[in-house]
Amino acid sequence: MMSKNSSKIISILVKSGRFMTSQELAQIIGVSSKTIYRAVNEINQTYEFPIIKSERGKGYLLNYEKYLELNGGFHEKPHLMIQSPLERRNEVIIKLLFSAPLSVNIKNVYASYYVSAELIRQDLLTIGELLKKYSLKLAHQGNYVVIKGEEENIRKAINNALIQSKAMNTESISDLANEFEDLSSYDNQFLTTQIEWIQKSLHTTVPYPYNVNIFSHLYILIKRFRRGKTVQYKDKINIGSKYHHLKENNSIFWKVSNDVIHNTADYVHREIPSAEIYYLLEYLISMRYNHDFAIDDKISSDSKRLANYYIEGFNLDMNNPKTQALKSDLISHIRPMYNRLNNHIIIANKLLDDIKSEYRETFIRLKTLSLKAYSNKYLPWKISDDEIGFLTLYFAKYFEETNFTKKAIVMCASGIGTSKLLYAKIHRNFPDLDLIGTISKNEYEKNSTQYADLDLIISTIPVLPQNNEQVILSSAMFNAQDKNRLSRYLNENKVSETK
Amino acid sequence: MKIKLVKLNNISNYEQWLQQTVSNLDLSSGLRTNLLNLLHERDALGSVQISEHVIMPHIVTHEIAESIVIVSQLIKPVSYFTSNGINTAIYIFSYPDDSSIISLVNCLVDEKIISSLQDPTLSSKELKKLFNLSVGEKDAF
Repeated sequence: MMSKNSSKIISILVKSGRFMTSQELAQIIGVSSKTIYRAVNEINQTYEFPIIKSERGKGYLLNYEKYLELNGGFHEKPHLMIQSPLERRNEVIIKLLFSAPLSVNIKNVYASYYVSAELIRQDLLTIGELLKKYSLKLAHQGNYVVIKGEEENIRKAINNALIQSKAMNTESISDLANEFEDLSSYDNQFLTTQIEWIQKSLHTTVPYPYNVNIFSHLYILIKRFRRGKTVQYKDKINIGSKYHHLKENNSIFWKVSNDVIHNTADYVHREIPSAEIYYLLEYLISMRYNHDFAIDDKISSDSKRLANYYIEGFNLDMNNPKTQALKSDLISHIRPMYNRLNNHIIIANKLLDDIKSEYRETFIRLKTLSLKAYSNKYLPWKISDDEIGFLTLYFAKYFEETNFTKKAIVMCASGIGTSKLLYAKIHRNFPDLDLIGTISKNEYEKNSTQYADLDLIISTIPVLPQNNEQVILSSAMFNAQDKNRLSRYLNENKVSETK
Repeated sequence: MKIKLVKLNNISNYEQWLQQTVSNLDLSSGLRTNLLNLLHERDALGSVQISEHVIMPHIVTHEIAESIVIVSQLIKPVSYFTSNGINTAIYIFSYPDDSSIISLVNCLVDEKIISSLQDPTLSSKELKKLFNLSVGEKDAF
């Protein structure tokens, strides 16, 4: 019987699908690194095979393939409601940023986390480093801390911290509104009306996650001004020189931004500086809309160039109508992406972990291409994994719509037991996969030459491929992990066919 | 194919379950030992869990004259590999290429059938109905 800690470690590693250090595991579970070390040894002894691999400097990784092999049907444990240090730090940053320029008693901020003074000290050091990215400074005054810096930077930091928090793991504005406990129904109604106003004025709709970004930007604006805690803005001349060009080139968006900021000023009964019109304008031009505005500027031609570069990077046939559709999708996405990068606006990609696991090869290839694009000056900035994740989805859609048929067989020991069940489940979930039937391991090994044209064996028991097939081990339950593994194989092989 | 429903309240682990199920088969002692060995060999290859609480220990052998299916329910669940709550097993001892077994396994794709098999109030009559077998179909013993 495994200890509670061992079960938690397996559960966390199954979910993460990546290397995790003993410190990370220790902090999530709330034990020491030594306990993690002992528990990992216990797990590997229990399984009589080291199912958890450890590498110096990288940490621990679960060998899921082996785990399945030794375990057969893996039964996923319920989700562990443990807050990671990252989530804790993010919540603290949000609290401190919202309070700026006022100082906050650090004991009050950390009261609900039950962490040691040493951990608080380490957290504050990390937070101080993170804030430097926004040209903000974390200053200590005895038991109090305060964030010092420009209002514009504080607001950007709040928005980015909110984007990384759980509050942004939502799919609609109403979900998001529910995450903010201090948001009254009047505020919610006001903010929703402003989004509707923006959509109506621009004759379009703002899709997820951009609508959520604007909502949170306005939420922060209301909260900061209502509390009267904003710090001084930079001098107007500076703002004027920076934003004059922006206003000239985006007159429709500027008018909408102006309207919304005036509505907000009326709503909170406060005077709001005109710089806010420009801040909102930056958001508005950084969104992807459900219909494209006919803009023919430098950004559009740069977007076309980058879309072509990505498509060429995958060696796709430019004459294929599906490739044309992909190009058009990419251009519509890249244009606002350029604006986001220009204005340091971050959008959260709540699907990022799933994208990285489901479309790993596509994601990696796009990441490599993006780095090259940066060194080739196609991209004037390095782009984040979140942005690469969005680009990956366009390619994933393309590959899903483009038919690359795979021939597969399902195998078990007898050919009539678990393979029959698995066959039906795979067929239901992957109707396009060319499943030729079920087979016993013996039958396959005896007549392997008959199966030389197979691409894939999906088996509930370990088997050595006799030809060029690939083998995917699966439980007979065909749970989410099994589906993901098969899906990943199919997607990766579509990508590799384009090489 | 013979089919039978068994409900057990004195099983504390999977091995005991296997042994009791095989020992109750109306077969020679030597054959029962062989069948138990085959089930052990199958388990050594990988899990036969087919649903959250259900396993399907199964083997194919020429040694039996007719296929046997035992649907066995436990009052108290037991552990199987890393799963703790296994309360139902569908034991299949199949004669090679028995189409009735293939049809039965195909029925197990239906989640409703898997759920009905775990129902403690399930009767032998209802069990046969689930697999579209005539009620007069032979019992396993």
